[in-house]
Amino acid sequence: MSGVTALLLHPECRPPARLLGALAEEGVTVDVRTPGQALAEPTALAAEVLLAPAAMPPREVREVSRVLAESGPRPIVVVYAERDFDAIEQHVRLGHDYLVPPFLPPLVRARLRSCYERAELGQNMEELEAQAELISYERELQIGREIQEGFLPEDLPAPDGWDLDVRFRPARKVAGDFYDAFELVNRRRIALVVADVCDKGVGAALFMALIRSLLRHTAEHSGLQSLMTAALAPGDGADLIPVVGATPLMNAVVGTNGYLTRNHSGQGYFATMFFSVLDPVTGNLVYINGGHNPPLLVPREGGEPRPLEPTGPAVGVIPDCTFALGHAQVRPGDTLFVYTDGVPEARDEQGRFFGDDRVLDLLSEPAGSGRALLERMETALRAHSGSAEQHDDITMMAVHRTAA
Amino acid sequence: MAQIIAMHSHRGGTGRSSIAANLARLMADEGRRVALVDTDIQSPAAHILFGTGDPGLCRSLADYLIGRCEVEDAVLALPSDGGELFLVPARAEASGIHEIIAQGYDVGLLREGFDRLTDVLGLDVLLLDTHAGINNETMTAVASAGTVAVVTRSCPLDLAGAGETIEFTQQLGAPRRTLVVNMVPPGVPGEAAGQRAEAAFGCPPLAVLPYEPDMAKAAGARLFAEAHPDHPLVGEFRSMIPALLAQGGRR
Repeated sequence: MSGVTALLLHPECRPPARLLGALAEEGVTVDVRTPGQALAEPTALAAEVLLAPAAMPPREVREVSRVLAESGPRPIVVVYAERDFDAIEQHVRLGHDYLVPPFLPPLVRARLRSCYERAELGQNMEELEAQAELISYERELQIGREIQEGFLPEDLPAPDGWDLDVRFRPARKVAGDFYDAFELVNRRRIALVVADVCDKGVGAALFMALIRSLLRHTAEHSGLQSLMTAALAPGDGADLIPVVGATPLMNAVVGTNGYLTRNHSGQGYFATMFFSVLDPVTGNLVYINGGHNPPLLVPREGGEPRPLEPTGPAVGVIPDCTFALGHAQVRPGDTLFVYTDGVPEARDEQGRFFGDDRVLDLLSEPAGSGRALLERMETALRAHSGSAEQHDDITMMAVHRTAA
Repeated sequence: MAQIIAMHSHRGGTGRSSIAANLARLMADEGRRVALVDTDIQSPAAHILFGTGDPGLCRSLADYLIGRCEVEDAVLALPSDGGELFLVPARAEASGIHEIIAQGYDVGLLREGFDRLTDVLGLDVLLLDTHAGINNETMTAVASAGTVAVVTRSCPLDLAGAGETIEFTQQLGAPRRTLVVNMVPPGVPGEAAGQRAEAAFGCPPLAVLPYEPDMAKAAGARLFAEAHPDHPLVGEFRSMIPALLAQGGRR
């Protein structure tokens, strides 16, 4: 038992001499105090074993044990008695161990060892439980991640003459960012979505699943719009007739905004998003930018990319707000780069941002393919971040129209 | 550039589809490339008027709208003396209506289909027949057209809808509106019928056509202009063509 330290309490600092002797013989370092002393200078104590007289009320013993645990491990509590053995019972009920005469060294050693083993076992169990809890939490997160992957498209559409690619790097196991790409209007159009649900982690991931599903389901099931319900002003004329894809696009964004603001406004979650519908035959793009950082249309001849500015607020914030349609054309050789703010806000080891200027700079050269453009951006991001921790989800989508 | 003419009437039974079919044939016979698109998915008529039989075995506008084919796959080439005549039937009689109503379609597809037909067929004239009253197809047809030919009878029942027709065509950018008064009953002077219609619509009629029992008899058996090329009514149809095409353009 050598190396073990014990705090031995006695109201007058006069514990049984035989007990002291036995402890000394077993190599236990003993500190003898009155209960008052022990409570007055707790920092001076560091004991693995607390030996208290059985006559001391259990409440007081527990108090000393608690004070000891504040600055070290919770001690093993053992009470001792030379007479009045009835007092031991109240302690035993609380799980305290006990020592009674004769205080022969081998007996004291055996008792202390068994106490020790029990305590060790208890501690191991606690650690195991904590570890098991952590593993189960990790497993749940892993399941969450796998399920969330199911909310991203398995494959990207590959229309003739187009080259789509994405990069998706969550900051944590689960993400608030998402992207989507799917066929619309009898495969005549392709819906392209990049969105960023505010916040990160599990909360954002739950809302990601909701928002992605609302958008996609609504877009896929909202072909027929009654033109008669549109508020007609004289002379709206030909503009009244929406282009193909505009109806599902508008219904999806307006419907999702309505759903979120009606049912989830108290939770404070919302998403910025770029939702566009591409005509692969003509390169015409109709879109809604709901408060998202403007995607950049990289021209085939190089030079400054054209930003596709917001056409409405973030989705899920303002009830009944208006979203306008934006229009753009992707010519052969052009590339549309859609991304989340995790790109410009990626930090280096000193905490400095990657920055919008850097993004623009990297896009000043035209790209030969979507993949090439994303690799260019990814390489620069990796060089910038080094070993710095990733703070935000990063999503990038490149839509490249092959040069004719 | 093709001229696009939408045929519209507030109520059914005005003879709108018959006039559209005959005009299409006569315009083509004069050497033009003409297509008639029947956008009346609820109650299709054009393929019956041309006697092509049920388009059940071929494609239709409804098939295009629900994604079964391209719009040009629904084109039927019809005989014409001198020009080219094409028909896009609305849908097959036996099927389609439930499907398209249940499933819906993207309203932008009609407009895109009109553009594609014009390009692919190299059209001079695109004639759009519509369902009576106002629905999505009618609104799209009118908004796409340079000229709306409103076909009406001169009875108070039909003329009651004049205000609504004027309003909705104006809202759709007021394409040029022309008025055809049709089926004037025996005993009613054409001039009086025309004046009543003019008072209601605020514009003089392009033509005032009498009720013609021969045409009623022929409906659905054979195209009237083909069966009776020398009938005075066919002459009236012919004389409408220059005015219809005079300023009609594409928007």
